[in-house]
Amino acid sequence: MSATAPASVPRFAGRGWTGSRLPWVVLALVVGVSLWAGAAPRHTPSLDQRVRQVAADVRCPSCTDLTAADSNAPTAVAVRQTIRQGLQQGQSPAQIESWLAGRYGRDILLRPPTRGVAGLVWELPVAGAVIALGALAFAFARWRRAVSGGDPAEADRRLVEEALARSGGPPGDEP
Amino acid sequence: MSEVTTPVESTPRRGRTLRIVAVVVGVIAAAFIAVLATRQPTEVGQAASPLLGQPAPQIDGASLDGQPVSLASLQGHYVLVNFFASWCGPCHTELPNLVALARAHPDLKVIGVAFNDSSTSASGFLASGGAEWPAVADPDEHIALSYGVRAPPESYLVDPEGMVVAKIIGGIDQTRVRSIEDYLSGGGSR
Repeated sequence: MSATAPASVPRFAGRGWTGSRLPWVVLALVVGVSLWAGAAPRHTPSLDQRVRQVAADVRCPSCTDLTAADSNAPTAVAVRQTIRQGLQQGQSPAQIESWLAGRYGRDILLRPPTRGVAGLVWELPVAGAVIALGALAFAFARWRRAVSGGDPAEADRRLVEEALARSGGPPGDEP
Repeated sequence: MSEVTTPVESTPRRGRTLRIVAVVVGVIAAAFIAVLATRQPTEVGQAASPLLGQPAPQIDGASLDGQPVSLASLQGHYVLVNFFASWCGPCHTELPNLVALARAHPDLKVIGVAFNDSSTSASGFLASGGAEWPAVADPDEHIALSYGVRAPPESYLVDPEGMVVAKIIGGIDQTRVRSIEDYLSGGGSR
């Protein structure tokens, strides 16, 4: 067997900034590339696919818990036809959704708006994640300072002495 | 300087943190309840619609008996746009009320829009109830969609300037007839 580093020695100890942070850099790269690859369109969708995509975000006006893409109710068919006509005329999905919301109200749309009070649905989770990560980083830094910044044995001894002093001293003679 | 957290120190600190978290959660919950409690209730007989106060979507085409129908040509009158279907039970119930309303107020114009119904069935239904107003077919439901109709019967009252002033979901009963008459007499429940 070849010689390995003792268990108490950190794996990247002595390799400097690059060595200690390399795993994090690699992790960030993997996450970034995965997100980019997952979000990138693989091909240009056909008109039918675009109609279905937009209709999937629209509630069927006369149904319960069905999207306009999934229902064959007359109003859902009409919504799909309106979406198709709008896309053929060069309108964006947002313009078509805005037209529908101007008739039925915003609750016809299944995706909450990104602005205003309802936009908090999108913003709060991101803010929460950022705050949580910041809190974790702060807590880790504090714990590391607490562990490496003093002599625990001495602190423990002081604590014991204080506790003993409060309780009236030890039963026997102690140096 | 070393910093050692002791149980003696952390208990009051943790208690303070918990109190702060509890207060923040309480304030958010109270704000949420306040928002829900102060929302405007929907009036009986009338429904909220983004179209209220907006120009009424156009209705242009041929009536079920082949005559031209145009909402724009009725400007200067109150117009009741009534979405109906021969297969719809509440539409049968409201028809006598509508016929009586139209006869009592000749200045009120009514346009029927057949919702997911054949022209033959729709015109037969209106004729059987004595309705004398024009009705249009809406085979692709485009008119219904442009008004935000979910299911018949639904009616929209359009004022003489062509603005939608009321949306009525469900059949028109005597209470709703009186509400429409309020508009016609200049009062309106605006």
